[in-house]
Amino acid sequence: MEFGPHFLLATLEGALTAAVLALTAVGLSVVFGIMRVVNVAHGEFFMLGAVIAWFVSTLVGVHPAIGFALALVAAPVAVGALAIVADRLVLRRLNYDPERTIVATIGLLYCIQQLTLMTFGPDARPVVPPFNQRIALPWFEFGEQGLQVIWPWGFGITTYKLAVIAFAVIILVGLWQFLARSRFGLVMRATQLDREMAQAFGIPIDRVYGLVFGLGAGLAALGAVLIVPIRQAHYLMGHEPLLLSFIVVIIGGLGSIPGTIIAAVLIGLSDGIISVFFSPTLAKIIATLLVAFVLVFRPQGLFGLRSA
Amino acid sequence: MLRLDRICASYGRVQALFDFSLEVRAGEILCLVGRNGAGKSTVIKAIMGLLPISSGTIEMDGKRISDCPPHRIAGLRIGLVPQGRRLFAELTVAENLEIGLMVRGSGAETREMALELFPRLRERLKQVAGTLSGGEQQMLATARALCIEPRVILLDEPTEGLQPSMITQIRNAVLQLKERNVGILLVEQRVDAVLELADRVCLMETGRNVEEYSRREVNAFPALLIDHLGI
Repeated sequence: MEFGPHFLLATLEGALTAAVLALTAVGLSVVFGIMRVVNVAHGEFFMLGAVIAWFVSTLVGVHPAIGFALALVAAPVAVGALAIVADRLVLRRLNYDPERTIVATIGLLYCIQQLTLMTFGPDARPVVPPFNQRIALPWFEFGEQGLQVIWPWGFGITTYKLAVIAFAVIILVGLWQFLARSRFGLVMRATQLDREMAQAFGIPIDRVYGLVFGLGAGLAALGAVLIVPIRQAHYLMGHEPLLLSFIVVIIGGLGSIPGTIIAAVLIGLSDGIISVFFSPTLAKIIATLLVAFVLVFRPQGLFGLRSA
Repeated sequence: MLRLDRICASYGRVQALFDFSLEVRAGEILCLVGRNGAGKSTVIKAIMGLLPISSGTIEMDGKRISDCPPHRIAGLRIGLVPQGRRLFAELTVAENLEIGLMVRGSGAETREMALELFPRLRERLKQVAGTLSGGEQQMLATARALCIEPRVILLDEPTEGLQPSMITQIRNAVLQLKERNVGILLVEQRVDAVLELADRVCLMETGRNVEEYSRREVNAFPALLIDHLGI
């Protein structure tokens, strides 16, 4: 395959990574932005989403589409509920102290991971995608007879991958609208801006924090359900999304949702393209270097506000 | 109406209030006066539940509120205009007012009432609060507190850093609130404002009550106030 089609294919793979990464990283960003909690267990909520998706789709077993549709609802709800319980039992008792919550979420990470290993086992398990037709993509070239349409061999993408990208975009637009227009979105933004004043104006921040932690975990789980038909469920699968989410959130600007989405697109696309042309390890090295540069030259991130 | 009885409060190991007492009555302006660091803003924080008290009681209409979580205090119709305004700077003017309205589920009528006092805000409803001028920000901070339909309002240095025309507007708003029978606790450093507005003056120093004067006393002997503030 020539460079052009190869590059476009790599870009589409990168867009898939970006879509799932954006969902996962926005979850982490919302939690940090509003609660000031660095949730080290975020990757495990992602992993739990994938495991629950496998469990639900296996349990239902009628048609892959029905099982998957149920997983798409059940996994984020179950993981979100678990996060709310974790918030009540652990984070609230620590009064959301930024340092102690880091240690607490590290503990949470190992609890979730080891409990999953004990119950789900060490094997990677696949989830059947609800649909997976391959679409051949055309390519345009200038030949002797002018512009020609050609169909390079192996140049295509599955309908499922396209659907994942579209679904992630819909969820992110929906989330943006929810934050900008809904009453709870206003409460969340006010709490993010000034926790003390929010309380002085009747906002029960403990309850807001619980729901925000649940929302963040639910978004990670949703990202995992979308990716699990492509990458399989495994009890150690949370590490990479956690690392990439932190990279994206730092580059985008801590707590900035537009920054997080733009950084996710940047990192996702570069990850896809570099992985295809060079190696996935090189893609991670470059992303980590980018974080180092951002921390040195623009510590507040590309779209974050400089603190006074 | 709002009564603080021998309250003590600390920031970590540093005690900031020592058996401090005061009472705010309906339709009355009580000025809380003291030098910087005397503990005036700490009193306001304690009333709003933002700083837990270690002893004493805070009551509203005879009901103990010092055990209430902070978010319940506003629901008792105690409004706050904090020092430095502390608006939700990235929210619009309308959204800041909406936060105030949410406290009691109040509607457009309450918002109109707040905007009547500060008509300039009506033209700025879609503007981000952080981009308003200092005076407009103070108006918004006051209007936001009015949106909870307060029975008691706590104003912490509302005229700090404002130009004279703005000070007049804020003063007029305070007087209108008094006419509506709202109890007002005003923390103020400007002697002329205290002399003009106060029905009673409570002097405090290093977290303790020093003296309380009536309007007549401070107007007859403004030196009492001036000496205390060290101006």
